[in-house]
Amino acid sequence: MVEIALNVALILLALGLPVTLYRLVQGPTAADRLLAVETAMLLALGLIAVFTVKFAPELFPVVLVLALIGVVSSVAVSKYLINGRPF
Amino acid sequence: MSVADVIASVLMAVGAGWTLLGVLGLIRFPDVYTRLHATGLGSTGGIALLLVGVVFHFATRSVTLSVLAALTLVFVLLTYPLATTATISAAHRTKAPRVASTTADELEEDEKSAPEEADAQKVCQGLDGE
Repeated sequence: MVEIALNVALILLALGLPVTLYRLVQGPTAADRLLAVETAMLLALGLIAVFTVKFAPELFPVVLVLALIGVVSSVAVSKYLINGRPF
Repeated sequence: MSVADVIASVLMAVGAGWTLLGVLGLIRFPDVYTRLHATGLGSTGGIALLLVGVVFHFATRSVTLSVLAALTLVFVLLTYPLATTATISAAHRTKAPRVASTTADELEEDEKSAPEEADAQKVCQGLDGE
């Protein structure tokens, strides 16, 4: 049952990535593209979490590092859009 | 097949589906603020559910990895709302177009009703510009 749930989770999360790519290419404003990249990072975090649970549990700390530094780029681009400077 | 495994399976599948529903808001909603609402709340909540499932999955196998998964959950819940708030602030500051049925803009009203804060912000930006 765990195997089935892991496969379902992998498929569902992978289906979300083309949607973020569409918004990244199409998005009319810079904030749309920023949001698309941020969402893609979140999906990658979930995908790597499920992947490590399924194939290599000893690699799970990768997800912890991604959760810590994943938003730095989003915040930097947001501050660039607000102030004209990244930090 | 233990109870923890059943809980973990259900939580991981439901969390992934929840995340996908939030992401679908990216193509279904009309402007950037509504899209931010869909993904900022829906996807972050879905990933949090998935990580709770991972915590349950590791609970019977490796306590260290279970604690790491719980830490990951805490950091996701701490950092991603910060990024969403920053993105919303950037969208508002760059005057992203909004859908015609928008009825209120409380951030703009706040900035109008508290001009001294806006002045202070201008001074700070002037200092930044040097």
